[in-house]
Amino acid sequence: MDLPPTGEESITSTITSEEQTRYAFSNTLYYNRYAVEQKEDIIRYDAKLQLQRQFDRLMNRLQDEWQTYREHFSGVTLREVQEVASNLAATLLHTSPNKIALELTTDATVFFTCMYLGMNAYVEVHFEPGEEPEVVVNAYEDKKSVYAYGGTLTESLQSFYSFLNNR
Amino acid sequence: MDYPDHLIPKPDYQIINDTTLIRAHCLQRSTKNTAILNPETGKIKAEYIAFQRDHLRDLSTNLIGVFKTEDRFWRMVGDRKARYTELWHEGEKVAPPTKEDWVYNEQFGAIYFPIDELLNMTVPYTRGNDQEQKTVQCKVLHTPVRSNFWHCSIRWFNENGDIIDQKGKWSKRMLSTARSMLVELGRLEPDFEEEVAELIYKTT
Repeated sequence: MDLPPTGEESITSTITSEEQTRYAFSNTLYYNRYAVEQKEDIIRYDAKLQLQRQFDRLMNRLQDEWQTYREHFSGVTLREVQEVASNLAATLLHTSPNKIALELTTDATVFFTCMYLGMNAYVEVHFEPGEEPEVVVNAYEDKKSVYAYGGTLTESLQSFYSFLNNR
Repeated sequence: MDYPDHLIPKPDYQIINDTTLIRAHCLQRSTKNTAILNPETGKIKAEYIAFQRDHLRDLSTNLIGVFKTEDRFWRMVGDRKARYTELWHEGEKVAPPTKEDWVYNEQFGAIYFPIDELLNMTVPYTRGNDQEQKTVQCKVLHTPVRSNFWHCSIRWFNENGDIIDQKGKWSKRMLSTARSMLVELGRLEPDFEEEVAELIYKTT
């Protein structure tokens, strides 16, 4: 007596392992053209969102601390400080520190702490009315100074970038 | 409760001019409270290193050893505060502070810096287009005051001398190095609490 198929019959595969690889989903035109691009877009989007959140956190911190420290920045406006600090924050975030923080100090400076794997860097911007801000970068590895530089914003960032690339 | 006798300088004490002799010891920097770490990085907050303008050029600390960690709670107040916080001179006899001269306040926190690590830190500076190069060196000076023989100063020097006497961009670079170095090396507990050997600070 013929019974209706249950759907559980075993199917003997005639496809070789080489063919399995060749026909794998990740090798299809669809996957290569669309799925990977989409996945990369999602990763890129997530990374961008993460950077944006960190950037906002740093800028909010600057705004909060300004109330306490503004008297020490005599002759310098919040806008001037924000302009330099935002450029610095954005650039430093792109160096992928594991942790980053911003503080203001009583010496009219903005002080960034950046923690990388095996190295900590401290970036400090000095403000003085009518003068170009001075940016000083110090980095330490195992309690030893491995990098120190002072100059304009552009000079210091270029130098620090080059140091990180050669590390 | 009386002001601790072990903090008062004695006529047979001498200033420790060679601070490499105490390089195994730690310096303590008092802080306004105990919320010392930046929660975002786990490092010392910059504001706890120097909470007033220009403090960083000459940072007041205590030499841990005979001075115990809890001795930071003693603070000089009142009419004779200035006298008790002035520098002590060798051979000078100091009358112990009375109850009107001090308060004991347990709210203060503390950061510790190993002297050895401070003295070992030398930072050479470079500047892209500029050939000029300078080196920042940290020095620990024993600067006893009348109410505390164990008072020390952390100071910063380059080829032109003490940062206290300098202005301009090099001075800013030194200040930044000083702050970053202290954040980097600062810790919440002293590594070494043994008493300072008497032969280092006693004349006989």
